[in-house]
Amino acid sequence: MGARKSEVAEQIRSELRDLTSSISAMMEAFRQIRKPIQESYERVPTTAHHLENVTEQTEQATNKVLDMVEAITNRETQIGDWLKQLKAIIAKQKPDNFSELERILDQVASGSQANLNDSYAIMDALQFQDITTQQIDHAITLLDDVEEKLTAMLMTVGGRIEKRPIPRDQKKRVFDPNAKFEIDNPNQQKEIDNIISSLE
Amino acid sequence: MSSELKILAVDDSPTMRRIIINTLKRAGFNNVTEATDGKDAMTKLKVDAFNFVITDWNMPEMDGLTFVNTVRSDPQLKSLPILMVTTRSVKEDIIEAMKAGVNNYIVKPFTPETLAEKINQVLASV
Repeated sequence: MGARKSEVAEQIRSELRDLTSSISAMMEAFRQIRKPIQESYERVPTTAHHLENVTEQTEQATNKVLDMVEAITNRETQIGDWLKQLKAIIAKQKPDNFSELERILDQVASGSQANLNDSYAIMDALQFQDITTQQIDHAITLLDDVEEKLTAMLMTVGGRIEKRPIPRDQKKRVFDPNAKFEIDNPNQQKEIDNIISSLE
Repeated sequence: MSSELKILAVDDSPTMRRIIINTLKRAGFNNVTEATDGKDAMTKLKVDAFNFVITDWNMPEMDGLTFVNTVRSDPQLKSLPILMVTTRSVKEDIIEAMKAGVNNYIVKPFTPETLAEKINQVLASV
């Protein structure tokens, strides 16, 4: 009976040794995976912060370009008006070289109108900023999701959960995940019009 | 009509509001007021009379679709012409917006010609 007890005790001790060994191996595995998870966890907010900076700086630059385009269009509109006035004054005076002067004035007016049209084209193209902002907001939202999952993994493996090293913009992000910039695609609006027509 | 039309332009992007206002001015629509989202637009619609609304869809506080539904359920505002200008080009979204009561729909990026054409189409149909 005593020998049987001793045998069982030895078996239990052996099982416990195996269990301790397994737990130690598991702890070591946790220690090994903790480091890369910790590093990824710390990098995500930095990456999101960089993307926020891209949005902010693009918006600032776009507004600066808009300021200049507005100034150019205002000046070119004014120049167009002045040229019309000048042409009317010259027409009244009918100088000998009237047709030559008229030709030159028309050329200047044509150049001014071309500048105006190009300025408007720049303004139209600046719509890209709204679309890229939505694309970046989508990317930041995906990164926030990754950060959340890494936090959960880190807590499981006993990692360090710290406050975000860089304070992030906590604004509510609203975006179209499919937003795309296709300014030279005339079919895009046609497709929308066809859908609307099919509903009527 | 264009110079008399009082337009409310609703978009959360300050850049887009500037572009829309400039494009409208180019087309002869000079009387334009800005709103940053549906909630802000509702506040402005309650204190001032507008003849036309141009609205984005994706906006904080109150999105464009909720805004359209709110306008359509308001006895004083329900007939207000609304043009939606958005990046959303998925068929289901367009159908949803039309069902909510938008008078027409433009996808961004838009051209000045498209904006003027759609405004005139809506005005002719109401």
